[in-house]
Amino acid sequence: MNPSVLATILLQSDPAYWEAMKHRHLVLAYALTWAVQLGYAAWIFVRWRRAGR
Amino acid sequence: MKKLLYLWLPATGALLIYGFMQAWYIAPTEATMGNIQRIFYYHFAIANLMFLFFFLSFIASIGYLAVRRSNPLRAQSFDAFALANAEVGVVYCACVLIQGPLWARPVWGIWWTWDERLTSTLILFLIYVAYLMVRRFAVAGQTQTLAAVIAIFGFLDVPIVYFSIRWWRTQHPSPVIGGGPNTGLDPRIWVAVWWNLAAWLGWGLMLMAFRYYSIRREQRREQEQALAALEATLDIRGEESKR
Repeated sequence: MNPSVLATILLQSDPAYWEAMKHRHLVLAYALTWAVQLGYAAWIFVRWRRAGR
Repeated sequence: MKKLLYLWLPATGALLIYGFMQAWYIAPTEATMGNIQRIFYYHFAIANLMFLFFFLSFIASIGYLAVRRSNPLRAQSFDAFALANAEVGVVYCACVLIQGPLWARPVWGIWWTWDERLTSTLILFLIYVAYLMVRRFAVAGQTQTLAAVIAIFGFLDVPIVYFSIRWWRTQHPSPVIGGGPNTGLDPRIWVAVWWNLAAWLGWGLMLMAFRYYSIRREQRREQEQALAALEATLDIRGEESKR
């Protein structure tokens, strides 16, 4: 078996791997949601100011 | 109206902070999935509000088509309302499409699958991105009419997205709310759900209102520029006829 595939299987058989991923993805989901929302809010603000001139 | 908008910001901010506290610290940890289930509070609220914003865009688009000849000024405000709601809907849909795979990977073991719920949501996103592209890049003239037609037909996908988990057996979970017997949520989870729905509704309405007024300003400026250009043309012609 390809050593890298074996390493992946071993890694993914460890429950700690999935627990760490759950934590990481939870934080990432909230962070990316806010990044998108605040990015859009900033864009609206720029358009608002530009339209007001 | 502007004062109301500026008061809305701190109220929505407080709601969002409390919604976050509910989602992360107060709601109980789900027994099977653990903490990753806390994505649900943002995912559910934002997905349902996405439907609301697309619905408002749909209604405003019908309004635009209905009055575009009889009352062009009112049609402009319908058009601005449709565009503002479509934009907020697209932003909310993007968030749903980001959160979904991040939740799916540790729970299902895969990032994505082409089941009916996920695919129809992606199609909905692409339809409204196409709507925004038309608004941005189409040559002026029929752009607003064309965009309104896209918004109306695009909205047909919303019931498909909503009912897909009832009509088909999907990888996405069956409805936990209103899904029949043996479905439902823990009352403590409901509290967090309602706070986050209220918070994201407040936030979305605020963004939509700011965007609406911004578009109205742009429309007025374009009308003023067109009027000034027309007046300048008439002045030139008047001077030429005097000669």
